[in-house]
Amino acid sequence: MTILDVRDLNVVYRANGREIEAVRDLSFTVEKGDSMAVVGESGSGKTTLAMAIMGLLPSQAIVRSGQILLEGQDLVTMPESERRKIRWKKVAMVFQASQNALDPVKKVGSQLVELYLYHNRGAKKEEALDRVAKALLTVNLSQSIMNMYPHELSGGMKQRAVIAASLLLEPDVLLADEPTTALDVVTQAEILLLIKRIVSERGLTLLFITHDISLVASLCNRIMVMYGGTDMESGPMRDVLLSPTHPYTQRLMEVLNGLEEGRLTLEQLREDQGRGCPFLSRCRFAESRCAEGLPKRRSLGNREVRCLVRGEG
Amino acid sequence: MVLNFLIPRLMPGNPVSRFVNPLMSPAAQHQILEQFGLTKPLYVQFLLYLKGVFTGNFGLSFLYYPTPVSTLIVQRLPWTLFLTGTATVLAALIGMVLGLLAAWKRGKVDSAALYSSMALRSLPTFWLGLVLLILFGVTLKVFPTSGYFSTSLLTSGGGVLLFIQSLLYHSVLPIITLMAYLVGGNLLIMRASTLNTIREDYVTTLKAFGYDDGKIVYGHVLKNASLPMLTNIGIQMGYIVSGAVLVETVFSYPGMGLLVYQAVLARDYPTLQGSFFVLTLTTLVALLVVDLLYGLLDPRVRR
Amino acid sequence: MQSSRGYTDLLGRLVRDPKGAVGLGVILCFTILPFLRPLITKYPPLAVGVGVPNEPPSHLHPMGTTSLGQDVFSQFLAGGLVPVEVGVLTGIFTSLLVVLIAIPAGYYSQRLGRLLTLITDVFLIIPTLPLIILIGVYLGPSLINQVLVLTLISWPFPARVVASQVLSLKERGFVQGAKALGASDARIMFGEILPNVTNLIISNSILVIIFAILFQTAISFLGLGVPTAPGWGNMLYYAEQSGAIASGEWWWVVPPGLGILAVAFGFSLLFLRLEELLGVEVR
Repeated sequence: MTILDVRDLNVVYRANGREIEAVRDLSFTVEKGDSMAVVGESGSGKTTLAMAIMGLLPSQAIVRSGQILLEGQDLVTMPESERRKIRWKKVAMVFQASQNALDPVKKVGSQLVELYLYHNRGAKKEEALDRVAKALLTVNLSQSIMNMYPHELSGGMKQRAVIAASLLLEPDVLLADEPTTALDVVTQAEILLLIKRIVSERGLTLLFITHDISLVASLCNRIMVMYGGTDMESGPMRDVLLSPTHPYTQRLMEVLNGLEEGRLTLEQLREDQGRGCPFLSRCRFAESRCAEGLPKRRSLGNREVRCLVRGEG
Repeated sequence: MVLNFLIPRLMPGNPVSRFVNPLMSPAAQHQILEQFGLTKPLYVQFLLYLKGVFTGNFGLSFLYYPTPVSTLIVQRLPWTLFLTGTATVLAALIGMVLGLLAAWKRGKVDSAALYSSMALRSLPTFWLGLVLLILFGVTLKVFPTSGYFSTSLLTSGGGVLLFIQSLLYHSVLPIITLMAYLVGGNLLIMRASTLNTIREDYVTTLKAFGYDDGKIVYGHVLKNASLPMLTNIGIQMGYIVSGAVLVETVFSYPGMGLLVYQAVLARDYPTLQGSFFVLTLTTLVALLVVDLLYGLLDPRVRR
Repeated sequence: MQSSRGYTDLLGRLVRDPKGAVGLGVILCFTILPFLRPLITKYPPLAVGVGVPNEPPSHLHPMGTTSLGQDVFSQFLAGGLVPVEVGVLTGIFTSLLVVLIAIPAGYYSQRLGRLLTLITDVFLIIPTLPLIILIGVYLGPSLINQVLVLTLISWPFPARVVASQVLSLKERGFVQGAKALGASDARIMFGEILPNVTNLIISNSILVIIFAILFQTAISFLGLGVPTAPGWGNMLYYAEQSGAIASGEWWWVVPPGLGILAVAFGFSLLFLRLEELLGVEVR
């Protein structure tokens, strides 16, 4: 069954009287139990998407149109008070465990206990402690963490703590936004394995956001490539990676496979305010008609592609 | 930190040799100087002073001769502490709450808070005292105009409650005056600090947890944002004493501040030396307390 | 690096925003008014007996009279000059000291920098006003002495900030580059580093000015200033001495204080606007 259904989502940022489109006309679905990778460079809109799903958009950002259906309920039109009840219970987020994901002046344990008790009014403290202990166990953290402060933990430990927090209320969906970016390679691998294990053990639906394709190749079964605020290509992981259709996906794979030197240049989202395909300026297949409008999404085999040139049969 | 102890010891060098009471005849001057040991060579005076400090003996006051300086200080210090202590705590609480609200709510409330706290910081403290005195003390006759409690009570023998009431009445205006500037500063810092805190990652995490605003602000943001304000309070300590001098002068409140002022006017060196030392010491202690408090609240600082 | 044209442009941007405009306006207003005073009212500020003593505001005397029969309004108009003068001079001297002391301190060694921190700490602990009074009495009453004392008290604080900034600038590329090119220390300090801390120094000096104005008036109020110079602080001193408080003569007490408040607030606004423009971390 479809657990997450995003339809025609448009999110804009308002700054200094100008409007910048962060997410354009985005649609995709996620089935229960799937692990979907959302891949894109910075500025592609992937974090905005995550924030929109969680309902954590900053005040300068507005959902102009579209729907985000979680188990059939539209999160966009839902009042904040309702959203707050769902937050973390149905969908939990795993952030980048930068220095500051947790309150620095409170002990880790008490923050987790607080979290549990907030959503389970009436529960006893022992119950909360028990649950927290179990969560910590799942992420391979020792119980002594409970009495430590966030700054006393290493990057990897902090990340695990954040994951433990996300599991506390037993959500159905796990949203991971660049969870390994700030970590060293070894810890990165550990965390990825951890996530993989947890997801399969608990049958969670995973939405893994990253800019690094290599991380998700074996972790997820589906992939969506984002660029310029919208989806460029989406489909089953193996197929998309082995035979990419969209020029952007092709480029990504080429870079990954070392066929082409140099890094992908960072472009500012602002430049792509014009109509037409956002990838236009960097696409080697571009034709004049690509500038006319955003290519429509088309089904091509077992996937969906937005490309005028390569997206046709 | 400990080095700072040395500095007040250096102070007495200043006033000692320069000012001799010009109104008295040379012979009388010499007599008095002798009596106070001022004729001895400077380094001996200094040594004597040191000795005096350690034994709590600051010599005899010129002005209130022959009362020992230490007696004067002991009499007056508690009142000043009461005044400044209350003002500091109240100013901290008010500044904290208002600063927090201003930063959280933003918009017009925030602008109003910003400008009013700036205005408060531009206030000449003594002037505020004067105005309040005239307004409430003289014209409206709500609050008494001097002293710290009605001496008439001593004779009429009222109970403890009446005493406290009188004490409070006498204290309100001075405390408010002293607080004004402090609140301004606290508010500004708290507001800035709260603005910064809100932008921190963990606040997003808290929101993601599904916490409502109230819990986030009072449970987490408050503690984090208060830390810089606490530091600021420490910095304000030096100012607080200055304020005390002004306020006590305006309200004729017999505390350390007034003592210092009178001592300066009368060239009363022993009193000056003693008061200065004690005041500096008090400030030092206060700073240490603030430091300790900070360590208590912020686990990152502890070792 | 800013050319002199850059500064004119800065001034323009400063006043474009109401904060800067109002702030600067108020300051200039009270600095110029004393000179315009003869045009506005015919009573010289210190002239005794031009009116009935202790009179509340009236047509003749918009702000009433003092106990000596002086015109309060006239004193109010003229009273801004002294505090502002002292304040601004203090700011300038402090900045000079800061430049001369903090830049080399931050540049040459960490230990000097820490010494600076120590000095600042000392000044933090010693009660400000008593210290000012003490030194002021020692030096004798004069405006220049006031400036000196205030400068002495104020310089450690901005110095510390600037020194730490210099310390961090020292490691930056352009400094290392200049060194590699063989530039002398002095040249680096004043050619490369100084322009980059100028903004910091200017912002801090405004804070110093505010502080100086408030304290100058405080000292005058306590009677330790220069009795003959017409200033708002002095006005309040005389007011208190002649029992204006007890008699509730608010017209004598309120205006000078408002003046101080206005000028200090004006500088605060200026500071706020400068902070916006220069985008500098002042603390």
